Amino acid sequence: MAYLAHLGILISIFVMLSMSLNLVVGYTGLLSVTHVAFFGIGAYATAILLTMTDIGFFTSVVVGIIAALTSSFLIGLILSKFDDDFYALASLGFNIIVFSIFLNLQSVTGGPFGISGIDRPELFGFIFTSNVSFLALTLIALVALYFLSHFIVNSSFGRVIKAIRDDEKALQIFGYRTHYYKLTIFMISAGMAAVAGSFFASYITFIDPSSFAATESVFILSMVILGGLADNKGAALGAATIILLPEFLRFVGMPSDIAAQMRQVIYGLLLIVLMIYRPQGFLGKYRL
Amino acid sequence: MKTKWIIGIIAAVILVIVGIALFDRSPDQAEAGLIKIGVVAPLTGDTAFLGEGVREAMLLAKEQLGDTEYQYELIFEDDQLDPKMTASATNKLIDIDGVDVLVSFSSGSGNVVAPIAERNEIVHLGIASDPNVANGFYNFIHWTPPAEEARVFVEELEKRNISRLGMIVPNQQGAVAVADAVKERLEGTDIEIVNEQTINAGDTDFRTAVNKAKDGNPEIYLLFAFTPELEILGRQMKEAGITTPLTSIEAFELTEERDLFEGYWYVNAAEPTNEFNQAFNSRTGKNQTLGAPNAYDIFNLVVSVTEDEPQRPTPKDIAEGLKDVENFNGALGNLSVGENDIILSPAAVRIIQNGQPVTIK
Repeated sequence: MAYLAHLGILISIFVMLSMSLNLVVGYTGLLSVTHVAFFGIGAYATAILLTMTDIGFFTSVVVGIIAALTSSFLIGLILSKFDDDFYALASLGFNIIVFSIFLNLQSVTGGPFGISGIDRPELFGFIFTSNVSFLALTLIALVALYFLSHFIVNSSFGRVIKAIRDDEKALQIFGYRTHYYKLTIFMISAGMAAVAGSFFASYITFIDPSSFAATESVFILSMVILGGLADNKGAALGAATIILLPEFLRFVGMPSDIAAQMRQVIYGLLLIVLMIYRPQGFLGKYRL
Repeated sequence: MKTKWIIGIIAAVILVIVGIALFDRSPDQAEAGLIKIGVVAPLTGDTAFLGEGVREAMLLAKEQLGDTEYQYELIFEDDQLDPKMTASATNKLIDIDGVDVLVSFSSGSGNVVAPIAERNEIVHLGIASDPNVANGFYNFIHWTPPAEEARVFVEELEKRNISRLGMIVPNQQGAVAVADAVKERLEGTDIEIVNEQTINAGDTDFRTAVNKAKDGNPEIYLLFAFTPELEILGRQMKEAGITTPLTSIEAFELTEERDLFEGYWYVNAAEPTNEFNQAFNSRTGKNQTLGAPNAYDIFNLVVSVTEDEPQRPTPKDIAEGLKDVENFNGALGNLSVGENDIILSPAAVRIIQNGQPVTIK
């Protein structure tokens, strides 16, 4: 049961992440590869506050959101002026800067040592120690973020960001200041990623910069693409598939000397086959 | 079409659950005489060669077992040194396989496994330098602490009258831990760090750092990098015309290109016995890798403690047994479990002579 709950927690955290990235990549059509930076900012905010101060988990989540909103506002001011490939490149640059800060600001982040001994959340004296109780808490956060995302994409604001994806220039001709919309959705997405980061840090109880390298942004992006762009349920399916597939392969009986390598090969092949037969993802309406 | 995919995903989830149910072996169902040891190590990815070394060493130890009271099963799970995969592997080993003992590799993985092991009251032995990994009743470390390596290293510098030290340090947890320990140990001595360069693990061009490293005219360079950065660094230093002697802590012991470091002395975390080196080499055709002798010792320590128990020991019995270990004859010499649940082995000064590591102190 603890293992299943563990998988549920990981899936929930990565559904939060892929859903938030889907707002930028799927709904707005901006190829951002910096998402893991905001995931990391949320994780480090929680890790630092829980290990160095008496601040509780839920306050640390708020601090993480504020930190992510602030940093995404600053970088978003620059990014929102770019389109297409340049947007992707500039966002990658930001990811590298944040990763370097995590790695080198040793007095605050612990540098390559990371931060260990991060507490589990506590509410009215109840500590979410068991995997099952932590899963329940994570699911509440996930449902809240799902409805937030659902509300955004179905609002008038959501219709504008979808129009930016379809034809930004036409929208500008009609007088829309698209920079403002791109910046706003980028910030909302960053705040959601920070929430996922806080849950990740508190659940794993240890973080180091390796969890927030640029390759992890590609990992999250692949969840969105696999699940399907511009569909929240697709993002959830993509995250669940990418988390569950390698776990399922742990149970495929193979000789121990080749098992790990073969699992990687099968995992890669399955993803390739899925992309050949379903290039727009499971539930996607658009291609990147 | 959408429905088909949703059905497909649901089917996959059901398969996972069925798979878990089929393979589920809770501790109650385990055979009375079977002790299960779960190993979490990087078996794929950039550091797979280290995880493979750990795996081979533990299999070697198991093969060398004679008649025993209990049966021992090793279950390996890959984590690629990725914390979320480490957590998945650990939860699977505890919940599905019902292991009695967990072994982890690296401080990062150890920090993830330790709280899970403590919560589930499962013995955990980490091959890790971070002392936090040994926190709690059930957690242990088998690694020579950086402070011990630094002590032996600084003594050797003093013995050789070296006063100007250059350091090239990759931004990696283990390397920074040892570098910090060396700096701390140098305080109050006449030895000065005249040049320190930081490099990024995974890079292949260190020429800028190498050229900057000449400043301050060091008498010796301390390289903390491991394979493959170590060999690249060694070659690029030669290309840059640096003839100043090189030294390392641990790294020279593990390189496959020892000719690059011929004649240079270094400190090794501990001295593996010739018997272990030969047995490992004849099994794998390779030199032992970082942590391999530790993994070998961990298996034998667990067996030794378990075999002393008249009835099938609980994890608590094994943990208590490990705390009492003294003068255990292992692949890394005479081992004792210290106050902080750290299994200590003495560091050694070695030299590369005719392509082979030889102990000089």
